[in-house]
Formats: sequence, C-alpha cells, structure tokens
Amino acid sequence: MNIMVVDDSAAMRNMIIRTLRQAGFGGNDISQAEDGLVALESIKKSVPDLVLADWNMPNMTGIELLEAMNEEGIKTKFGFITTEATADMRAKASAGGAKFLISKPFSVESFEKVLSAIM
Amino acid sequence: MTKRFVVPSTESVADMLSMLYGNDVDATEMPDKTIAGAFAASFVCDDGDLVAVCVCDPAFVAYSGAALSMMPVGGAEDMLESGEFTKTSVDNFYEVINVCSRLLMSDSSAHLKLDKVYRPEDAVAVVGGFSARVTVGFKLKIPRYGVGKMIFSIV
Repeated sequence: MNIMVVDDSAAMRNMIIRTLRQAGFGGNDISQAEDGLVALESIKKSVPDLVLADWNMPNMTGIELLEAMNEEGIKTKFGFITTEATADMRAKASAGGAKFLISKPFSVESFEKVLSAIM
Repeated sequence: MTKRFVVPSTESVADMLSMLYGNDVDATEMPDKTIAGAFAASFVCDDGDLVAVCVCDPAFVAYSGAALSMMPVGGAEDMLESGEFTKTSVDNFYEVINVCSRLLMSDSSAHLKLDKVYRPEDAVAVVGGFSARVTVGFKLKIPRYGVGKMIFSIV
C-alpha cells in the first residue's frame, strides 16, 4: 500500500510518518509532498492508496488538492491531519469525499483507530 | 454578546504540548509576564484584526523546535549559545505555535488563526503595540530538552 503525506512542515511530515510506524502502518510505502500542488503533480503520475494532507498549505491547500483530484477524476482514500477542525471544515471535507479529519496534536491511538477502519 | 477567546491554563498548555511531543511536559504559571529577547507570534480573527500574541523565550524556541524534529539537544543548546536560530528551528516554532492556537479556542469561543511568527528583532514592534485584556505566562519543561517560557496576551 502507498501512503502520501502532504504537509508544508518537514518536521510535521516526519512526525506523521513516525506515528504511522508506531501505529503499525510502517510496512507501507510512504511518500511526502510539501504542498498540495507538489502532491497533485505526483498523484497524477502515480495514485497512492491513501493521502494524508494538512489543510492550510501554501500554493495549494489540502481542500483544494482534494477538489482538484475530484475534478481530475482521481479516486483514492483521502484524510486530513490539521490543527483546525471546525464544523465548516468538516462539512467541506466530507462533501469532497474525505474519509476523516484528525486534529493536531494527534496520538498513535487516533491513527490506529481511524486508519484501521479504512485500510 | 461578543464571543471571547479561551485563556490557556497550566493544564491545557501541558496537555497540548504533552500530546504534541508524546511525553509529559511540565507547566507552571509564571508570575513575571515579561521575557527579554523574545520571539513572538501574532494571531488574527476572521476579520484580520490582531487579537492575540504569544511571546516565547529563545530557550522555548530552541527546545520546542528541536523536540519536534527529534534533533539532539546539543543542536538546540548551540543555537542558544550563538543566538543564531536556523530557518528550520523557526519553521518548527511556527508549527508548535500553530498547534498551540487551539489553546485559545473552543467550540463556543471566537475564532482565530496564527498569522506570523517573528524573530526577536521584529517581535518588539508587534508586541509593543498590542493592548491585551488578559496575559498569562508559563514555564514549560520539555522532557529530554529543557525549560522555556511562553506568554499569551489576548484581547
């Protein structure tokens, strides 16, 4: 299984990858992108099985990435890992087809619970 | 009635940072609400108005950033000694404070977001011109790294 982690903070990408490993998902191929635009270009070439994206990023936000993927007809599992998680954001994420929204700071347990349900 | 922001407590700050680092962060209230040579962060409401600032001493910036990247503590101590903070350390400080923005909000509070972080040379102008309703300060011990200080001022 291929997992793409999209976040403009290198430290946060590493923290997410570390937490994926601690939650038992370290056996998967994990790639990284620093914003939505970089992620979209990569996804067009090779669609991962799961995208874990931050919401607020320069160049292309997480929700813009999800919307762009929908416009391109790219279907894959998508979830947000973000500091903010307002009702409006949850509604937009759900409308776009996102499977979940995990709040930062996150825990190994939250990854286990959410990801086990969809993988 | 105008919605206000949440005032962080020692418990909420300790819980938030402990969850971020996966280790127990000790927080104690700091009576002295001033920090020399501080870094700063500005928070804006949905209208774009400045509604809160957070100032942190160089030790917190160095230790919190190093802990986020799991960098050796020696790298943080070198930065403190030289006073030269790398872009990565300031980027990590931004991420820590971005997560800490949640301390100022609840489901029923007003909404804000982190706007910018400032190095000490630029922080004075931001903090000096801000008029706060409440100010709270914390001394924070990040396990395996060190002790730093953080102050929130909120309208």
